[in-house]
Amino acid sequence: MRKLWVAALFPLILATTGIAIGEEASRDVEIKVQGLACPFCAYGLEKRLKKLEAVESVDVSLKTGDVRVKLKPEKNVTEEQLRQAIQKGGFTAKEIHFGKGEVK
Amino acid sequence: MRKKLPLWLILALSLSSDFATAAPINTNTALPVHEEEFLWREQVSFLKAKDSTRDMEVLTVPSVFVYGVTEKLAFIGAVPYMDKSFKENGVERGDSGLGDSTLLARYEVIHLDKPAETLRAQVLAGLKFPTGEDDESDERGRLPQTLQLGSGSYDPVVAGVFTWQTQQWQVDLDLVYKINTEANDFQFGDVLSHNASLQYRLWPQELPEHGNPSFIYGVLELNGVWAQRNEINGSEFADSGGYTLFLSPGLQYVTPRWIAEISIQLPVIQDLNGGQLKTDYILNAGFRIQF
Repeated sequence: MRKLWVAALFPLILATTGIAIGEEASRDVEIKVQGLACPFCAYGLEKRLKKLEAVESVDVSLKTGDVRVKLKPEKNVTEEQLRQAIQKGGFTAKEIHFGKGEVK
Repeated sequence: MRKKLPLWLILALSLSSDFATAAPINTNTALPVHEEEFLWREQVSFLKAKDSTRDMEVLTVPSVFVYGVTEKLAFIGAVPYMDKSFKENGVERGDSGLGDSTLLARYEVIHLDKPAETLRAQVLAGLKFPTGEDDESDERGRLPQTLQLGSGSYDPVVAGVFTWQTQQWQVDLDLVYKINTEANDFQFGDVLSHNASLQYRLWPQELPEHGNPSFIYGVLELNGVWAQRNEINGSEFADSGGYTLFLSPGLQYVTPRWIAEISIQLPVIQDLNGGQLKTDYILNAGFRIQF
């Protein structure tokens, strides 16, 4: 009987864990930034975004102008906050794509 | 001796390069300083001028601090250390210590961003303060005003700067006007500086798809300085003022956090009034860090 319970619960545990991992993985935000043309300026933008409380890490692709922002667990950020941070960094945010589970 | 030193040129050149926050070496830039960003720039500049009887060397070490109040407004402060030495017929005179400081406000008036490209223009205004000694003497008496570390005067400065930057090229243009006022019965002539810089990314030739790689830029600048004649006790002095244009090749290593750079300024035009000593070269090296 116990084995049956474990067998029944195991997929459920896996599924639950999977959902959690999936949610964490989806807490990235992709931002298309215009005006990025040199490493010194791009680093300034990175610092500005990292000042947001919800931001865990920032990856900038200078070539494409793509900025990937990874959010901290249980923390959220709005599109307006991101746009404002990029503006304060001296650049222009175009499209902002949130992953699953985001709060805008 | 006092009447033939082109030290207005040194003051003008150090002022012109002091504004820069990122990008060119001797030209100002309109690239952004983001809100609450702090930049520090340190530069060493060595000027050499010599003829058959006279020899002049000036070492200037300007420390420049920039703070971004908003994404459009920044404050800039510059304090130079100077060491001036002038020899004529075996007699040497000079002084060393802090020179005059400059405080400026910089405001962005044009900002157009495109993918991997930006175009910006800014205006600057400020004041040069007489923080350098302006009444120093040696065993021969009071040093000539041009050998003093400071002018003793409060001098307004206005400037306009334009920048167009892509990931491969960068163009910067500036125009700086300094209104010199009188102190110690001496008035340096007003100074107009015009600078143009072209930068080309030499390395890496291809940018990687991801990340924020360091660059090596080749830099070629034209740095022009025009000055009115100086006045002593209200009378124009013939051996002062004129126009100098430098061609300035340089190299710059730009990382995300710091920049190292070197350039040499070679005079291609020296149309100086009277019998002033002409400049052989100015060598500049420095770094910038953002915090």
